Amino acid sequence: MEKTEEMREKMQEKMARQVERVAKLAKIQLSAAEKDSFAIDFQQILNFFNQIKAADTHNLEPLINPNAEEFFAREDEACPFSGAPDVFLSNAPLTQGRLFKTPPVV
Amino acid sequence: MKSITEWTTLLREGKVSSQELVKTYRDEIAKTDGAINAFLSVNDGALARAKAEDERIRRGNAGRLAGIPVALKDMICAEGQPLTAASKMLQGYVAPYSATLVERLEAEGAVILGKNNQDEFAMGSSNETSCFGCTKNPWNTEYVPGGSSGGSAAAVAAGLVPASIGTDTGGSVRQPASFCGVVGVKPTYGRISRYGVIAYASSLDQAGPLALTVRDAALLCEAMSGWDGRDATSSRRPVPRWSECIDPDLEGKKIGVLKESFSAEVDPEVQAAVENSVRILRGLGADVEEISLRTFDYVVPTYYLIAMSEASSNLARYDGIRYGLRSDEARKNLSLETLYSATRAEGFGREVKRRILLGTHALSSGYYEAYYLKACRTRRLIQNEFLEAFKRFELLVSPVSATPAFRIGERIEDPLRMFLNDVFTVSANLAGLPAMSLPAGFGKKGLPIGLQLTAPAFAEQTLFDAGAALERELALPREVPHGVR
Repeated sequence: MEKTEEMREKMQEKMARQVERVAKLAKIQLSAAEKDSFAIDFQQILNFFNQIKAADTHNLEPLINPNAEEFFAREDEACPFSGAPDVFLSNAPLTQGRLFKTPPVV
Repeated sequence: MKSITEWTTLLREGKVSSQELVKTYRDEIAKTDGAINAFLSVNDGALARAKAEDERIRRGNAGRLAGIPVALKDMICAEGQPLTAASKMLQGYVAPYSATLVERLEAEGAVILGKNNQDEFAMGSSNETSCFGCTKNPWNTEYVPGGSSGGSAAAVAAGLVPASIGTDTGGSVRQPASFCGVVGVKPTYGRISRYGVIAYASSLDQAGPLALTVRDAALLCEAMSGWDGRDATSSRRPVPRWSECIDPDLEGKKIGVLKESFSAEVDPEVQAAVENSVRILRGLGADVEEISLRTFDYVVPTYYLIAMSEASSNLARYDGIRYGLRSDEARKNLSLETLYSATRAEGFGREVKRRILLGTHALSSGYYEAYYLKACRTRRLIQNEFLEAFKRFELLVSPVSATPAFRIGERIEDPLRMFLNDVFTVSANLAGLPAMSLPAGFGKKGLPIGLQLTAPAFAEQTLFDAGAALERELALPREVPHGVR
């Protein structure tokens, strides 16, 4: 019984580390409570995802676009925008003149 | 409650004006929507637009949707109107341009009435993840309307607008249509341009109508469909006039009914609705046989792996710099990295964060092959099985959802149970197929039950033909739901 409990805790810790790793990659700050609760979700949902390991996909190409024959690539040309360019700036949380404002990056 | 087709006749005969329609529906929203919460905003410009359409009708050069009020799920851009995706992340955002589908609806004379509530960034099956509060099911306000286009379905069912346009990534048009007792259609992937529609999972997303009748849904689909150079996955195939070609003669049509419709997990009332529809189809001369799908158990994990992976990439754009929320916390701090992560922590709700994190995991080094790539190969397996099935059948029949609408709060704490809601709907998105949810009856609690029809890619006409035949035979009364009476 104690061993099972120990294993469960170890798994939970492993998942918590995974959550921390991906939160950094996804650039989302998490509270301690969120980390714990997402770790439980991760364990449960990744287990569920593992079901597809049983699917026989030998020799099958990954399907990315379901109607790939319809796909076309655009010419690499700039297209003029018909609206007023200021509409884009008006949605920005912080601007300076006609520029988006960010914290210093260098 | 009148359909688009019925209003169009009255508008052309001069018995009602578009301006009167807009006022009537606005009054109805003001009166009823407090209890339903289906609208997030109402278009201030609707009346002016209606006036222009009245003029076009008078001059005799009106489009096929002239003067008809239509609402939009709040994932769809309409120039000058708010666009929130039901997320704190986009509160205050004003769409700088209109989606192609909106331009096309307006070119046919539709008047955009307002924006409908939904799950945040379309991530949910119950509307409970909206940051503006859950939409209620108009048949019983203690129940969910379904999701993610729950606001659209509830608005149409409650008579607050004759039709609304939703988006369907894994059933988000069809499942709420089923829960609210309206018609919902997801056309073939590539039919309707995704330009100006907020991206959730780009290889699965497809807009589609929620309407009162099959013919109305067909009309809206044909108005919105067709090639658009601004969406690289847009199909160049010609768009038939589906609404004018509806032929409800099903004599000799080969129809497959999913054996999984009658599994133990499916509510007996839902099974009975499917059985009843099959009886009707047979009575109309269709040749109906059972078919079982070997890949059935894989569709939900495959779908969620792909949807979450694509979402983690698509939602990377919400960085607090160019638009949307910027965390106050981030304003104080000088680090760019903190700006991103504090803004995203504050702006996204729990379900959106969970999906971004799981998607990031599935795409990350060391896991990409086992999760994302494996899911894409399984997706091929699933599509191949549908291609095989459509060698034998012209149409497949199944439930939309294993149960009718469930109570608000009943499943929100159990993500896996919520995911499994989607077991009948996600296949059409994975395989890129057109599918429809059609009202098929009511359960003992008075909640609607939907039937799903799925056709081969680009065979939308088959959906509309069979849907119209069933609609005529089922002859369900079109009434104001008892939850809002």
